[in-house]
Amino acid sequence: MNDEKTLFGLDPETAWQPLFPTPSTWNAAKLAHLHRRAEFGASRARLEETSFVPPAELVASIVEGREDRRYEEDVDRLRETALARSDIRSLQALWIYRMMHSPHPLRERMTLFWHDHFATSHAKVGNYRLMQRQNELLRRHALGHFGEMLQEITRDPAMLIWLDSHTNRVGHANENYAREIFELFGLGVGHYTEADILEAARAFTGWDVHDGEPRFQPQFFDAGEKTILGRTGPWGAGDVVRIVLEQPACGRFLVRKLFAEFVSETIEPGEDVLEPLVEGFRVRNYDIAWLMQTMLGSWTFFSDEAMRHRVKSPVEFVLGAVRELDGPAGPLRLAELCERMGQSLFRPPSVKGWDGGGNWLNSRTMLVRQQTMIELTRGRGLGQRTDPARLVSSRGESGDVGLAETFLDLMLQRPDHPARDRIAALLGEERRRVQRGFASASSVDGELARTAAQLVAALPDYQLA
Amino acid sequence: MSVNRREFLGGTVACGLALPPFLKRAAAAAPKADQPGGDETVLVVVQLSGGNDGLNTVVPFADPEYRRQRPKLGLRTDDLLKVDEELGLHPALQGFADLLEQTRLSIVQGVGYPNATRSHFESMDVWHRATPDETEKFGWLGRARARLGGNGAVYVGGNDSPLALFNATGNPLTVQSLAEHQLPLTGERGRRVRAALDELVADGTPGGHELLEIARSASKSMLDAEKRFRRASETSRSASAWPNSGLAKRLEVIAQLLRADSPERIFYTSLDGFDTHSGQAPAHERLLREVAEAIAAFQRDLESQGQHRRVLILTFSEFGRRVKENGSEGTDHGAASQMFLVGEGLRGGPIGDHPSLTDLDQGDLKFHTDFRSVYQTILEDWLRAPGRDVLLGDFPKVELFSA
Repeated sequence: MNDEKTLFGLDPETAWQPLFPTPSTWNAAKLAHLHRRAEFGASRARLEETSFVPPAELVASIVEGREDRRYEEDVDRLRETALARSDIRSLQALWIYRMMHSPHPLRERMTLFWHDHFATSHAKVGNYRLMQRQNELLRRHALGHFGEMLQEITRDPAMLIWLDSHTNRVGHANENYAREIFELFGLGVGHYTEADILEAARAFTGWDVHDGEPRFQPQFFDAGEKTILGRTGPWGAGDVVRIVLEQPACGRFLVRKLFAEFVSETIEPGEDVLEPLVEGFRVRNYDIAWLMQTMLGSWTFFSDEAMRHRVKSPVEFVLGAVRELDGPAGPLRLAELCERMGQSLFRPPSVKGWDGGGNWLNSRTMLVRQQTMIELTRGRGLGQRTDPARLVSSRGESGDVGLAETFLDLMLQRPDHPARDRIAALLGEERRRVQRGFASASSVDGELARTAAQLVAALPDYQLA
Repeated sequence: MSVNRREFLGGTVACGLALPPFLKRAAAAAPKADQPGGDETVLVVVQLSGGNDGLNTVVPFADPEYRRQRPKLGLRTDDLLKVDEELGLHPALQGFADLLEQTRLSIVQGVGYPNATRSHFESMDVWHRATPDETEKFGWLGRARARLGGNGAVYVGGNDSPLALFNATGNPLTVQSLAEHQLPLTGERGRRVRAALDELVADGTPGGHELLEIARSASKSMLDAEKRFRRASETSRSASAWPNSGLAKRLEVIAQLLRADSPERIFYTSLDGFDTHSGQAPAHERLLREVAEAIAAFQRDLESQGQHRRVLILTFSEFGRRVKENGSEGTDHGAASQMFLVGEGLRGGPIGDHPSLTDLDQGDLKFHTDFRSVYQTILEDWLRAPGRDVLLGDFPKVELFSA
């Protein structure tokens, strides 16, 4: 195992070329990996239906997505219901519903990424409609052009409240937004100075929120000359955004962040390796769809340093399980469980978003993850429609080893996992115990299927995407 | 290995001996002779909701004005549990009297805040936000727990998680029973599945990368913690007798969490019912008895665990009540009252004078100690959190600890 944290030996020329599928370069594990990273996972049926699609074509269709008029109508209706309830859990549940049922799941996945990137918390904003409005903004631009998203979010009412922009006035500057647009949203630490922040704060003056809409009031705007990142002029908010987008650091910052989120959490790629992506991203006016399509179809994405090199966030964890177990589950309860696992949607801990990675896993959150899996695989209550028993009855898997392999394959794509025999042995003991009671063969199999799923979910590998 | 906890905590801890983690924590957290508090100390807040009648809780019996203003509700001097020549505790507070004798109880008198409101909701809001900054949306313990690492707090109760604990991440962990800290695996099957889970995470995968190892280690520590919780809920029932009241049950959950080496440093629970506008005497007696007995039992449990030196208990209410009793043998909303502190390393006894019964503010006791001073002292001296950053303001401290 190479200790160096760089993509050792990866050639920038070929790293981002599309993977060419051959029996040795393309397999079930890589297919599942793509679905996991891009679409929160996949059911066995979905894996089967996409297994004969060439990866480049599949990635393109994942990025493109489909439209579904009935789905949109359902969402519109649910949105009004959620907003009428006036509680955060309903908004969270609405979003989880969309992640589960959207015909364009990558868009939801990207929206989640941007929510973490532009982390805004309802706990301070205190307005459900505004939080939902921001969520729709992020969704609209999720696979669009980053520049447009940055312009719009600079004027987004929830953001204006969150970073105190609505108190930023000529003569009484509030630097909060200026600092974060440089440090967290656009450039990253080290690519601006404190002086730039002070000047940018002046350019952002004059905005507030009125009747749920952004409002610009010229009398509160500092119209004087500002020098920001070497550019001088009577800049306003839109100009600062434009200047940020012109910086070479902008593309590099975003590409690196998307790499860390979608390719690998354990690798720190060199600048030269990312440069082809950065260049392509920039000349296409920060086209996120192009970037995602290139990244998700590449050799690097399917390399050993990428596969299973990401800790599933709570949302990915529950949705992945729900897809694998092939049934919907109550979004309200799932939202609550995600919160208990440390990811309360619409309530990131700070403007830096969620720390992610290994930080998702501690003894407390791991307990909730296991409780969740037990609840989902129980065969009743939340697990009623995701019952593992349903997955085996149609297939006629027999024997303890067969059952262990089935779930190791379904959930980890590793039917020959080192833990297989231990799991099979436990299933055997369970079988003898259950058969002592008055139970039909199919209900015994059902019980064992549930146990098998619970045990596979307890493997450390299952925490990784 | 059987361990006499008092031996280990009383004497020096020998190197190389494997102490259970919470004992190491307790030893590290034990306030040293010259400084209270530490990095692993715990604060348990018991909120008395409704406006506790402080004047009948700690009675200035030597002042004739007391009986003049409370001909019916005034408690008989002979019934009181004497604190000193001027003050006596309500007879139902025997548990507190015992703690007082052991120098484990402090009574901070005359606590309130300027321009006090007599509205339950508004006043409780002031106590929970605890800052002069009126735009602040989070609670003082929410701001504190953000600084103490991780989520850092547990609320024992139902769906009414208090504003005090609220911060950008929302509410902290809410626990109603210890079952929530356990895997829902019971009976013979549960035993077998647990054994299998232990095996599946016991060894690292050769060639496994760092994230895999983090996942494995988190699973392992989860299973260990889960065992501790199960053992804790079995042990604590036998270790000390708990009264059968709602508050006692909630404090018992906290004691069990501490016994199971729960990492949080802030725990919060409440007892409702103190809004005694009429027929105060029997209700107040019952409530105070519940408070004192539950806290005394909690203290005993902490001792049996060897954790009594790292835990501080604080009680408060959103306001006191009027000096003059009303026409329904009750009292109406007032202002200043007292806060109780229970733990080790305290100065013990009354802190500050009892407010005058004649020099009143519109019929209410005047405060001399801003409650945020008490908070600031506890934040800095006990929890080692930055008081000014948490309270968004600076308040002169109170001498709470015997350092």
